[in-house]
Amino acid sequence: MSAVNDLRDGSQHLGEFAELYALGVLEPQERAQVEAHVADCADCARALGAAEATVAALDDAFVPQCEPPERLDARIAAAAQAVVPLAARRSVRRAALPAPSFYATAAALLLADTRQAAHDSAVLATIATAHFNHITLTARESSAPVSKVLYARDGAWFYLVVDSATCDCRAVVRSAAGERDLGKLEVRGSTATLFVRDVPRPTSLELVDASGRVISGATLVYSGQ
Amino acid sequence: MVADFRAGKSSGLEGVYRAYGRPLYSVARAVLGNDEDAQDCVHDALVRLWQRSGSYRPERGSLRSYLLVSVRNEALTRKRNAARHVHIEERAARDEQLEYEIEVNDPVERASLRRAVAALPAEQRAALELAYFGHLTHMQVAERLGVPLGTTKSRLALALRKLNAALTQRGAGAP
Repeated sequence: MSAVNDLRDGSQHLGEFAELYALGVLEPQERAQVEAHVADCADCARALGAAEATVAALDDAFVPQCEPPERLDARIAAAAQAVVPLAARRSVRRAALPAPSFYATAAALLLADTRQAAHDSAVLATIATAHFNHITLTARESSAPVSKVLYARDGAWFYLVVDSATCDCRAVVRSAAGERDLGKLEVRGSTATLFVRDVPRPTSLELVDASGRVISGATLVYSGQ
Repeated sequence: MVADFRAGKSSGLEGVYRAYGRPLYSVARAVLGNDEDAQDCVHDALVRLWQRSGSYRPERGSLRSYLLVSVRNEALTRKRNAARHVHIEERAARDEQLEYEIEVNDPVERASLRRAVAALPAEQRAALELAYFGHLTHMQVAERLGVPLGTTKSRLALALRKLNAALTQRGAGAP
């Protein structure tokens, strides 16, 4: 323990603690000291990187690979889109796990809108019978209205709902085929919506206001990626 | 992606998860043994590293390796904390059995690494197996082997350096 204690004042380099850290055999306090040291020592960062690469090779060879659950996909996406401090972000994540209020809000927006036009019954049927993910668009301008996108897990469609009766925005989507301007959203009652089927596996979606500024956006994540 | 991750951008976290979510989750799942704990582990570790701006520096090399080791360390901490109520010998015995149940994904990698591990001196190989496959701390490895802690640390470090040398030679096309 003495060697790692000496790391505090920078009088020693990591030495064998690089390998011990990478192997995961250190106690949390020792790990913290190693991390603090490599933050200021490029040579030890390189040594630690080499040890980590070796353990990663062991992981690749010996650890059975399994797909992350879709619930984890959603949790990571929610964390990425949250723009609140750490402590609050944690509480948001915990509260959002079962997500009853989120689904209720999205469903209410969706149902309210779909009652207004006959063709929306097909949209509703598509969504109601599909597995989908959802994400709140991150505001990049204070003027951005609250917006959510529901999207099929196989990337076959997405449904954008903007909580604004005065939305004057265009939607821009990106996919492997490139960027595409989908035009202005259609306002119905208190929301503006857009249902799109012909952009396979979209990867990101942005709202652009009348002056051309991107006011909000989201990255669409699929399981298995 | 790396720059976005270091900058704490949303696209950085999402991109890293898309690229490395599967191996990260697999490592957590292998250490912790159940889906719920593995999910919590990957989520908490990734978000913490993403929020800690600059925790990863380029000199450290591969971001993927850095994340794999970080998630593994997080999983090991959780497992050890949870196991404090379990008798150490019972847990060690269970871990010892598990090492022989682990499957290997890539036969070529498996053969190469097995050769490299087999070529280690017996005392280094024993220490490595208890640490990597058995998930023990250095002090627990020392207790199990009945050797001083300093000796155990040296054996572990030497073992990993030899594996690193073997993998580097293989990557360079050496037999």
